[in-house]
Amino acid sequence: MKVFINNKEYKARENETIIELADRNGIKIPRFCYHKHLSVVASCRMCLVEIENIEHAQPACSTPVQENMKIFTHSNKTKNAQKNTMEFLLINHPLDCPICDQGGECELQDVSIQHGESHSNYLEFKRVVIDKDVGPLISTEMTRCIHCSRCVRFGEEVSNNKELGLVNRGEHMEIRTFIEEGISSELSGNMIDLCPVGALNNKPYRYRARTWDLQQHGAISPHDCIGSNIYYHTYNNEIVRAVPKENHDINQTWLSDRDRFGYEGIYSEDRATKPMIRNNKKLVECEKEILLNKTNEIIKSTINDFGLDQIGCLISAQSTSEELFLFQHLFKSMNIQNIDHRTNECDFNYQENYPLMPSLGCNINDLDKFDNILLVGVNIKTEFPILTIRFNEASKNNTKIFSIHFDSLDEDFELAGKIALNNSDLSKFFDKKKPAINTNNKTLIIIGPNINYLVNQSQILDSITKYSKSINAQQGYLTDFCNSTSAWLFGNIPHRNFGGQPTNKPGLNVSDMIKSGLSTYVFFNLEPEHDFWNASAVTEALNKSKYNIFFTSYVTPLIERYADVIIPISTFAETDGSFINIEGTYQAYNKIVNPNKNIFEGWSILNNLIKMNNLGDYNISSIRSFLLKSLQNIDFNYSKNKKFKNINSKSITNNYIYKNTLRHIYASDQIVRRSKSLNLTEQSHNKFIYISSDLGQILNNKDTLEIRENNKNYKVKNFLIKKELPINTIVYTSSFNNTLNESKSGHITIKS
Amino acid sequence: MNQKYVINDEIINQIDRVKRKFPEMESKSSIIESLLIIQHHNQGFVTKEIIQALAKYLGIKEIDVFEVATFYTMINIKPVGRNVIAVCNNISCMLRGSDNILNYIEKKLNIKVGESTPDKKFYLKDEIECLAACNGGPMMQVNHKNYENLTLNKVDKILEGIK
Repeated sequence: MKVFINNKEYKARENETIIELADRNGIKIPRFCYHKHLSVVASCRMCLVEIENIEHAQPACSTPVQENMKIFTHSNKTKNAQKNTMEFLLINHPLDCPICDQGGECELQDVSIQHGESHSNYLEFKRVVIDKDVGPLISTEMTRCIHCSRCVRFGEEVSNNKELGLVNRGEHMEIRTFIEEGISSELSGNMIDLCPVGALNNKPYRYRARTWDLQQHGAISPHDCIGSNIYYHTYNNEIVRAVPKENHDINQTWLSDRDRFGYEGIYSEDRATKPMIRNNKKLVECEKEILLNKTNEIIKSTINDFGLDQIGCLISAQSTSEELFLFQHLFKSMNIQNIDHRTNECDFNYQENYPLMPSLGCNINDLDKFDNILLVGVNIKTEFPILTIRFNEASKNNTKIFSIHFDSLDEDFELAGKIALNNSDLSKFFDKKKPAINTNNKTLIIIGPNINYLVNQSQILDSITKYSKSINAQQGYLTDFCNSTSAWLFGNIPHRNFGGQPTNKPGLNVSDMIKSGLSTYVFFNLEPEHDFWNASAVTEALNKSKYNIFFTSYVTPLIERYADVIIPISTFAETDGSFINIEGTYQAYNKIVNPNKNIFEGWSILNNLIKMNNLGDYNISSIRSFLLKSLQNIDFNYSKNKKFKNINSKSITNNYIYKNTLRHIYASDQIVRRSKSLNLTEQSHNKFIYISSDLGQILNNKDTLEIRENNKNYKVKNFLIKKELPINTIVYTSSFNNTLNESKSGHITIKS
Repeated sequence: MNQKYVINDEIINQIDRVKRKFPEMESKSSIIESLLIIQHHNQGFVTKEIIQALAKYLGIKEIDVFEVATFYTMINIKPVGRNVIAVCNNISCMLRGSDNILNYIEKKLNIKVGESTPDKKFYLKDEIECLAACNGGPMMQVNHKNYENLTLNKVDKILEGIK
């Protein structure tokens, strides 16, 4: 279709609007209410343009193009319309730009300068709207609101969790929440970006810096395995805020609150800032040289005195790909096989059958191409909030989404079915009952991280795999950390080497390493208090062992007590790094801020050790080019050609009571756990213990639950009875303090 | 008023009848009528608790109901007087002197527009748009009944005739 804009010919698509055509061709049309991912309301009138043979200027956002249409974006009529609209908008908008955080990046300011007049015909008092406190993440200044309703439409159409609305009408219209309610959406931060004025602003960033003083650094968010693209804005070598970086294939233009505000954890007070070694039972500060020598000496002497199998190396899957590669390279080159990253798990019987690496099973963009999606053991709303948007699109596209979980949890998209089953029923479900779906249709089964934490993980994974093969479904995973893919792929597992190469002598898995009490433990980026399946077992192991080496960004009480060497390392922000997201996209980024002088970049300190042992010498670009080259040679059909091992996991009877742990949205990794703003949110106050109603009956109105687990007794108070839970189930939310002495899942008995 | 509001069966029946008029997935369509039904049974206004209960019953967000309740002047979110006076403010009536009529009523009842008299006898409604009786302006509606070609005397008589 031929369309002329300013007398120049453009090719337009069918059903395209003028603004879409103009945007595609880089022709500027001012706008406020229009946003490419939201519905069109044409309420701000800023995008009015002149069209030949039409008397009045027409809104470009809602007018479809027609053959031979002649549009003028800079004619007198257009300019006049823009000027008048601008004048109307400024009748009530306060001119407090000098104290407004939006100043400098304000769409109203920009458009006003380009298209407005310097003087107004209106001398009346401006309207004042009383502010509301909507929570710790968004600050409001509703007098500045121009009623574009982008935030309302975002809640309605994108996050499907409408909390803001247009209340009252005419002169009294205002944007607000329902009476006395705050905003609790996991995607609320996007409304800050959408707001074209300073009405909704980033609360933690408020008054910290002016936008023109900020530096922008592109990076990858490390808080979930989706790998959202993100811009960190820094001021004086400090991250002060984060905004989304557009990536059509991953996060589009959105960002979850966890990704947006998680960075605050970098500035926690318990950051490890000094290299320390233990000398006469006391931790003392030391030089880098001494630190490296001591570390190397411990590793060497453990190998010589106790043997290769007496050293256990554990790394967090939140580490960068470079760190994960060098970590396993360092230790596996020394023939140490006790390497693992699956610190939150306890049942490893399935590990031989596990694919080369966890993968979503499709591209994120293709989620809506399936007829059925079964979500097993995952709550998208709290674990992968950014995917809520994708599942919303999918369900609008007639994909039927089902949730199968040990708890009954809400989602912000439409579920075609929801079922809560306890652990033993979960595995039986896929063997015997089978989900009621049309098996001829294209089906995707997504296994979430909560399944990995269960005592009968292998049983469940086995029956799901058998089921999905029988109906020819695609099987996918969502992982708890951002880089589990790399951890599996680069050999941070005891039973496979780099690239899934088989190993002659498989090492111990994390659970056996902890249980068997080794002489030396190496922890990389792990918090013994929260990052393990059973924190008390870890404490015991640390206590018994001879040496404990911690590569860590934070000094926790257990680290302070048991560490022989503390090597302060960078968080994701202070190093060049890369992550492989769950769809398999390799994404690299450069250092965002420089670390303190005594904090070492994780990869470089590992490289120092590698160099000391004559095992090579790397820099960021040589690691990256090596990784990318080897990625081309890896056989990604790995598991298809492999024979499946039979799973013999412990038989599970129906009489058990199951204790399970849900990952808490804002306690999911060590950085998020330390984010001040996220800890103030409604979700963070919501840390609970739920018990099923049949257990409630046993209790007979007592307020204390006496639990016996692994020959240990303990008491639990402040629990709630949840009717929707399957029988014989207790559900914890993993949080700061209540899991310290307990395992994340298990069989328990209750004293009645 | 802090207690949880329970929609009684009689009202539920009426709301269900409204719901049946609209497609199944479009429960938002029945907000206005449902609010009017509940309001009728609740001394002419709705509360926060009512909005919450209705949103839950219709399976929609509370804010959706709240938007509707605050947009339309026929739905009150505060307790109001028994008799509703609505003086048309639109252009035809304004040209024929509706401002005078409104001022007169305000003075006579000693309340501002949008308020109710302390004895809860009268409620002077705010933001009245055209009531479709332009030929008889200035006009007002008292308890849904039209009174046209108003004069100050006429207003006196009408108001005095109300108990």
